[in-house]
Amino acid sequence: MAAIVAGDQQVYADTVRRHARPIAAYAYRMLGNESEAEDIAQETFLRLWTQAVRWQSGKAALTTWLHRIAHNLCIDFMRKSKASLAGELSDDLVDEKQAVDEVFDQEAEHKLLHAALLNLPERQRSALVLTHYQGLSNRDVAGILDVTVDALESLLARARRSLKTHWQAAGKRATNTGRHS
Amino acid sequence: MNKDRQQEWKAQRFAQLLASYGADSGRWPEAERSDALAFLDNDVNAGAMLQEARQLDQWLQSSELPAFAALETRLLQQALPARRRGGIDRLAAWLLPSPGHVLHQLWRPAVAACLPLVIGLLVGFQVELVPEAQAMTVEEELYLISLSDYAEIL
Repeated sequence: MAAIVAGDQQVYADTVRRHARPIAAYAYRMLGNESEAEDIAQETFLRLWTQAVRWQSGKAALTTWLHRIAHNLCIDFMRKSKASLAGELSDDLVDEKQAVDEVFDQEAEHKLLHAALLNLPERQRSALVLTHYQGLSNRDVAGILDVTVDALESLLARARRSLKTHWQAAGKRATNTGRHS
Repeated sequence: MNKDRQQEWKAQRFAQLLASYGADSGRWPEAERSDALAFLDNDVNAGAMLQEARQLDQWLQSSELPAFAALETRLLQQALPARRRGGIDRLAAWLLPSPGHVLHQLWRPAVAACLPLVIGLLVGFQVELVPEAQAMTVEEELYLISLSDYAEIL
Protein backbone atom coordinates (compact mmCIF):
# COMPACT_ATOMS: atom_id res chain seq x y z
CA MET A 1 0.00 0.00 0.00
CA ALA A 2 2.88 2.32 0.72
CA ALA A 3 3.92 1.82 -2.91
CA ILE A 4 0.45 2.82 -4.13
CA VAL A 5 0.52 5.85 -1.85
CA ALA A 6 3.88 6.73 -3.41
CA GLY A 7 2.30 6.47 -6.88
CA ASP A 8 3.68 3.10 -8.04
CA GLN A 9 1.37 2.17 -10.91
CA GLN A 10 2.81 -1.35 -11.26
CA VAL A 11 1.82 -2.26 -7.69
CA TYR A 12 -1.58 -0.65 -8.32
CA ALA A 13 -2.01 -2.85 -11.43
CA ASP A 14 -1.09 -5.99 -9.43
CA THR A 15 -3.65 -5.03 -6.78
CA VAL A 16 -6.31 -4.55 -9.46
CA ARG A 17 -5.54 -7.99 -10.94
CA ARG A 18 -5.80 -9.63 -7.51
CA HIS A 19 -8.92 -7.92 -6.17
CA ALA A 20 -11.00 -6.73 -9.15
CA ARG A 21 -13.07 -9.88 -9.65
CA PRO A 22 -14.12 -10.40 -6.02
CA ILE A 23 -15.15 -6.74 -5.84
CA ALA A 24 -17.10 -6.97 -9.11
CA ALA A 25 -18.70 -10.20 -7.88
CA TYR A 26 -19.82 -8.50 -4.68
CA ALA A 27 -21.26 -5.56 -6.61
CA TYR A 28 -23.01 -7.93 -9.04
CA ARG A 29 -24.71 -9.84 -6.24
CA MET A 30 -25.76 -6.57 -4.66
CA LEU A 31 -27.03 -4.88 -7.83
CA GLY A 32 -27.87 -7.77 -10.15
CA ASN A 33 -26.35 -6.13 -13.21
CA GLU A 34 -22.98 -6.85 -14.82
CA SER A 35 -22.22 -3.43 -16.26
CA GLU A 36 -23.23 -1.65 -13.05
CA ALA A 37 -21.06 -4.07 -11.09
CA GLU A 38 -18.11 -3.19 -13.35
CA ASP A 39 -18.82 0.52 -12.81
CA ILE A 40 -18.73 -0.02 -9.05
CA ALA A 41 -15.46 -1.96 -9.34
CA GLN A 42 -13.97 0.82 -11.46
CA GLU A 43 -14.97 3.49 -8.95
CA THR A 44 -13.68 1.35 -6.06
CA PHE A 45 -10.23 1.10 -7.62
CA LEU A 46 -10.18 4.79 -8.50
CA ARG A 47 -10.75 5.46 -4.82
CA LEU A 48 -8.00 3.03 -3.93
CA TRP A 49 -5.68 5.16 -6.08
CA THR A 50 -6.82 8.55 -4.86
CA GLN A 51 -7.41 7.69 -1.20
CA ALA A 52 -4.78 5.03 -0.52
CA VAL A 53 -3.26 7.26 2.14
CA ARG A 54 -6.41 6.82 4.24
CA TRP A 55 -6.01 3.07 4.56
CA GLN A 56 -4.74 2.02 7.99
CA SER A 57 -3.15 -1.43 7.90
CA GLY A 58 -3.78 -2.13 11.58
CA LYS A 59 -7.47 -1.34 11.26
CA ALA A 60 -8.51 -3.50 8.31
CA ALA A 61 -7.05 -5.82 5.68
CA LEU A 62 -6.87 -4.34 2.19
CA THR A 63 -9.60 -6.66 0.92
CA THR A 64 -11.91 -5.60 3.77
CA TRP A 65 -11.22 -1.93 3.03
CA LEU A 66 -11.98 -2.43 -0.68
CA HIS A 67 -15.21 -4.25 0.19
CA ARG A 68 -16.17 -1.39 2.46
CA ILE A 69 -15.67 1.12 -0.36
CA ALA A 70 -17.60 -1.10 -2.79
CA HIS A 71 -20.37 -1.60 -0.23
CA ASN A 72 -20.80 2.14 0.30
CA LEU A 73 -20.83 2.73 -3.47
CA CYS A 74 -23.46 0.01 -3.95
CA ILE A 75 -25.67 1.47 -1.22
CA ASP A 76 -25.35 4.97 -2.75
CA PHE A 77 -26.12 3.56 -6.19
CA MET A 78 -29.19 1.65 -4.97
CA ARG A 79 -30.57 4.66 -3.16
CA LYS A 80 -30.11 6.89 -6.18
CA SER A 81 -31.69 4.45 -8.60
CA LYS A 82 -34.25 2.79 -6.34
CA ALA A 83 -37.17 3.57 -8.60
CA SER A 84 -35.54 2.30 -11.78
CA LEU A 85 -34.19 -0.78 -10.01
CA ALA A 86 -37.67 -1.61 -8.72
CA GLY A 87 -38.87 -1.41 -12.30
CA GLU A 88 -36.20 -3.84 -13.44
CA LEU A 89 -36.95 -6.24 -10.61
CA SER A 90 -40.51 -6.60 -11.77
CA ASP A 91 -39.40 -7.20 -15.36
CA ASP A 92 -37.41 -10.02 -16.91
CA LEU A 93 -34.34 -9.79 -14.64
CA VAL A 94 -36.03 -11.17 -11.56
CA ASP A 95 -39.02 -12.98 -12.88
CA GLU A 96 -39.50 -15.47 -10.07
CA LYS A 97 -42.69 -17.03 -11.42
CA GLN A 98 -41.06 -17.83 -14.72
CA ALA A 99 -38.01 -19.20 -12.93
CA VAL A 100 -40.16 -21.42 -10.72
CA ASP A 101 -41.94 -22.83 -13.76
CA GLU A 102 -38.57 -23.98 -15.02
CA VAL A 103 -37.17 -24.97 -11.64
CA PHE A 104 -35.37 -28.04 -12.94
CA ASP A 105 -33.45 -26.00 -15.40
CA GLN A 106 -30.12 -25.02 -13.84
CA GLU A 107 -30.29 -21.58 -15.40
CA ALA A 108 -33.77 -21.08 -13.97
CA GLU A 109 -32.60 -22.18 -10.54
CA HIS A 110 -29.83 -19.61 -10.75
CA LYS A 111 -32.40 -16.98 -11.81
CA LEU A 112 -34.62 -17.89 -8.90
CA LEU A 113 -31.77 -17.53 -6.42
CA HIS A 114 -30.67 -14.30 -8.08
CA ALA A 115 -34.20 -12.96 -7.72
CA ALA A 116 -34.46 -14.07 -4.10
CA LEU A 117 -31.13 -12.43 -3.26
CA LEU A 118 -32.12 -9.16 -4.92
CA ASN A 119 -35.41 -9.16 -3.07
CA LEU A 120 -33.68 -9.24 0.32
CA PRO A 121 -33.44 -5.92 2.16
CA GLU A 122 -30.10 -4.15 1.48
CA ARG A 123 -28.46 -4.89 4.81
CA GLN A 124 -29.48 -8.54 4.89
CA ARG A 125 -28.21 -8.94 1.34
CA SER A 126 -24.89 -7.27 2.14
CA ALA A 127 -24.45 -9.38 5.27
CA LEU A 128 -25.15 -12.61 3.41
CA VAL A 129 -23.09 -11.83 0.32
CA LEU A 130 -20.08 -10.60 2.31
CA THR A 131 -20.14 -13.59 4.66
CA HIS A 132 -21.25 -16.42 2.41
CA TYR A 133 -19.88 -15.52 -1.02
CA GLN A 134 -17.00 -13.16 -0.28
CA GLY A 135 -15.74 -15.24 2.63
CA LEU A 136 -15.06 -12.34 4.98
CA SER A 137 -14.96 -12.97 8.73
CA ASN A 138 -17.93 -11.98 10.85
CA ARG A 139 -15.89 -9.24 12.54
CA ASP A 140 -14.86 -7.75 9.19
CA VAL A 141 -18.42 -7.84 7.88
CA ALA A 142 -19.75 -6.30 11.09
CA GLY A 143 -17.14 -3.55 10.65
CA ILE A 144 -18.16 -2.92 7.03
CA LEU A 145 -21.84 -2.71 7.96
CA ASP A 146 -21.16 -0.72 11.15
CA VAL A 147 -23.03 -3.18 13.36
CA THR A 148 -22.10 -5.49 16.22
CA VAL A 149 -21.39 -9.16 15.57
CA ASP A 150 -24.68 -10.03 17.32
CA ALA A 151 -26.59 -7.69 15.00
CA LEU A 152 -24.79 -9.20 12.02
CA GLU A 153 -25.84 -12.70 13.09
CA SER A 154 -29.41 -11.49 13.33
CA LEU A 155 -29.23 -10.02 9.79
CA LEU A 156 -27.74 -13.26 8.47
CA ALA A 157 -30.36 -15.43 10.16
CA ARG A 158 -33.18 -13.29 8.75
CA ALA A 159 -31.63 -13.36 5.28
CA ARG A 160 -31.22 -17.14 5.31
CA ARG A 161 -34.74 -17.63 6.70
CA SER A 162 -36.17 -15.47 3.93
CA LEU A 163 -34.20 -17.33 1.24
CA LYS A 164 -35.31 -20.65 2.68
CA THR A 165 -38.94 -19.53 2.46
CA HIS A 166 -38.42 -18.59 -1.21
CA TRP A 167 -36.73 -21.87 -1.93
CA GLN A 168 -39.38 -23.98 -0.19
CA ALA A 169 -42.18 -22.05 -1.87
CA ALA A 170 -40.51 -22.59 -5.24
CA GLY A 171 -40.23 -26.31 -4.50
CA LYS A 172 -43.92 -26.54 -3.59
CA ARG A 173 -45.01 -24.63 -6.70
CA ALA A 174 -42.82 -26.83 -8.86
CA THR A 175 -44.34 -29.94 -7.24
CA ASN A 176 -47.84 -28.62 -7.89
CA THR A 177 -47.04 -28.13 -11.57
CA GLY A 178 -45.69 -31.70 -11.71
CA ARG A 179 -42.13 -30.71 -12.46
CA HIS A 180 -40.62 -31.62 -9.11
CA SER A 181 -39.83 -35.22 -8.23
CA MET B 1 -25.08 -24.18 35.33
CA ASN B 2 -26.01 -27.90 35.46
CA LYS B 3 -25.14 -30.30 32.66
CA ASP B 4 -28.61 -30.37 31.06
CA ARG B 5 -28.85 -26.61 30.92
CA GLN B 6 -25.35 -26.39 29.53
CA GLN B 7 -26.30 -28.87 26.79
CA GLU B 8 -29.49 -26.91 26.07
CA TRP B 9 -27.50 -23.68 25.81
CA LYS B 10 -25.03 -25.36 23.44
CA ALA B 11 -27.89 -26.70 21.28
CA GLN B 12 -29.40 -23.23 21.12
CA ARG B 13 -26.10 -21.65 20.12
CA PHE B 14 -25.44 -24.41 17.58
CA ALA B 15 -28.83 -23.72 15.99
CA GLN B 16 -28.00 -20.00 15.91
CA LEU B 17 -24.67 -20.70 14.20
CA LEU B 18 -26.41 -22.79 11.53
CA ALA B 19 -29.14 -20.19 11.09
CA SER B 20 -26.60 -17.41 10.60
CA TYR B 21 -23.60 -19.01 8.93
CA GLY B 22 -24.92 -22.21 7.40
CA ALA B 23 -23.54 -25.73 7.54
CA ASP B 24 -19.94 -25.07 6.49
CA SER B 25 -17.90 -25.00 9.71
CA GLY B 26 -15.30 -22.87 7.93
CA ARG B 27 -17.77 -19.98 8.07
CA TRP B 28 -18.49 -20.33 11.79
CA PRO B 29 -16.75 -17.89 14.13
CA GLU B 30 -13.28 -19.24 14.82
CA ALA B 31 -13.60 -18.87 18.58
CA GLU B 32 -16.66 -21.14 18.70
CA ARG B 33 -15.77 -23.58 15.95
CA SER B 34 -14.20 -26.35 18.04
CA ASP B 35 -17.01 -26.26 20.63
CA ALA B 36 -19.62 -26.41 17.87
CA LEU B 37 -17.86 -29.34 16.16
CA ALA B 38 -17.63 -31.16 19.49
CA PHE B 39 -21.37 -30.57 20.01
CA LEU B 40 -22.00 -31.93 16.51
CA ASP B 41 -20.11 -35.13 17.37
CA ASN B 42 -21.96 -35.67 20.64
CA ASP B 43 -25.55 -34.58 20.01
CA VAL B 44 -28.00 -36.92 18.29
CA ASN B 45 -30.05 -34.14 16.69
CA ALA B 46 -27.14 -31.99 15.54
CA GLY B 47 -26.54 -33.99 12.36
CA ALA B 48 -30.11 -33.47 11.16
CA MET B 49 -29.90 -29.75 11.90
CA LEU B 50 -26.66 -29.56 9.94
CA GLN B 51 -28.17 -31.43 6.99
CA GLU B 52 -31.10 -29.02 6.83
CA ALA B 53 -28.77 -26.02 6.77
CA ARG B 54 -26.63 -27.74 4.12
CA GLN B 55 -29.58 -27.88 1.70
CA LEU B 56 -29.88 -24.11 1.72
CA ASP B 57 -26.10 -23.78 1.31
CA GLN B 58 -26.23 -26.01 -1.75
CA TRP B 59 -28.91 -23.83 -3.26
CA LEU B 60 -26.85 -20.72 -2.51
CA GLN B 61 -23.92 -22.30 -4.31
CA SER B 62 -25.97 -22.46 -7.51
CA SER B 63 -25.47 -18.71 -7.88
CA GLU B 64 -23.46 -17.91 -11.00
CA LEU B 65 -21.42 -14.88 -11.90
CA PRO B 66 -20.99 -13.16 -15.25
CA ALA B 67 -17.63 -13.64 -17.00
CA PHE B 68 -16.49 -10.02 -16.44
CA ALA B 69 -14.44 -10.66 -19.58
CA ALA B 70 -12.77 -7.28 -19.97
CA LEU B 71 -12.86 -6.14 -16.35
CA GLU B 72 -9.12 -5.97 -15.62
CA THR B 73 -8.37 -4.38 -19.00
CA ARG B 74 -11.04 -1.75 -18.41
CA LEU B 75 -9.74 -0.97 -14.91
CA LEU B 76 -6.11 -0.83 -15.99
CA GLN B 77 -6.79 1.32 -19.04
CA GLN B 78 -8.58 4.05 -17.14
CA ALA B 79 -6.57 7.21 -16.65
CA LEU B 80 -5.57 7.57 -13.03
CA PRO B 81 -6.31 11.05 -11.72
CA ALA B 82 -3.81 13.13 -9.81
CA ARG B 83 -4.21 12.70 -6.10
CA ARG B 84 -5.70 15.59 -4.15
CA ARG B 85 -3.21 16.37 -1.43
CA GLY B 86 -4.23 17.55 2.00
CA GLY B 87 -3.46 21.06 3.29
CA ILE B 88 -0.43 19.97 5.34
CA ASP B 89 1.05 18.09 2.39
CA ARG B 90 0.63 21.10 0.12
CA LEU B 91 2.18 23.42 2.73
CA ALA B 92 5.11 21.02 3.15
CA ALA B 93 5.55 20.81 -0.64
CA TRP B 94 5.56 24.59 -0.83
CA LEU B 95 7.99 25.01 2.07
CA LEU B 96 10.40 22.21 1.27
CA PRO B 97 12.52 22.16 -1.89
CA SER B 98 11.87 19.26 -4.24
CA PRO B 99 14.39 16.37 -4.19
CA GLY B 100 16.13 17.48 -7.39
CA HIS B 101 16.60 21.06 -6.23
CA VAL B 102 20.02 22.29 -5.07
CA LEU B 103 18.49 23.60 -1.83
CA HIS B 104 17.18 20.11 -0.97
CA GLN B 105 20.51 19.24 0.70
CA LEU B 106 20.55 22.49 2.63
CA TRP B 107 17.10 22.72 4.13
CA ARG B 108 17.79 20.41 7.06
CA PRO B 109 20.91 22.30 8.28
CA ALA B 110 18.99 25.54 7.72
CA VAL B 111 16.07 24.32 9.80
CA ALA B 112 18.51 23.10 12.47
CA ALA B 113 20.19 26.51 12.50
CA CYS B 114 16.84 28.24 12.97
CA LEU B 115 15.83 26.03 15.89
CA PRO B 116 17.67 28.07 18.61
CA LEU B 117 15.91 31.21 17.37
CA VAL B 118 12.51 29.51 17.45
CA ILE B 119 13.18 28.05 20.89
CA GLY B 120 14.38 31.46 22.14
CA LEU B 121 11.20 33.14 20.91
CA LEU B 122 9.03 30.47 22.51
CA VAL B 123 10.89 30.75 25.83
CA GLY B 124 10.69 34.54 25.62
CA PHE B 125 6.92 34.45 25.24
CA GLN B 126 6.47 31.90 27.99
CA VAL B 127 8.75 33.31 30.72
CA GLU B 128 7.73 36.63 32.28
CA LEU B 129 10.76 38.66 33.34
CA VAL B 130 8.86 40.78 35.88
CA PRO B 131 6.34 38.87 37.99
CA GLU B 132 2.83 40.17 37.46
CA ALA B 133 2.44 41.01 41.13
CA GLN B 134 5.40 43.41 40.89
CA ALA B 135 4.48 44.94 37.57
CA MET B 136 3.07 48.49 37.77
CA THR B 137 -0.06 49.68 36.08
CA VAL B 138 -0.04 52.81 33.92
CA GLU B 139 -1.80 54.77 36.68
CA GLU B 140 0.87 53.79 39.19
CA GLU B 141 3.65 54.86 36.87
CA LEU B 142 1.96 58.27 36.25
CA TYR B 143 1.58 58.69 39.99
CA LEU B 144 5.29 58.07 40.57
CA ILE B 145 6.26 60.50 37.79
CA SER B 146 4.09 63.18 39.37
CA LEU B 147 5.80 62.56 42.73
CA SER B 148 9.21 63.01 41.12
CA ASP B 149 8.15 66.58 40.19
CA TYR B 150 7.50 67.31 43.88
CA ALA B 151 10.84 65.75 44.80
CA GLU B 152 12.63 68.21 42.52
CA ILE B 153 10.87 71.18 44.20
CA LEU B 154 11.77 69.92 47.66
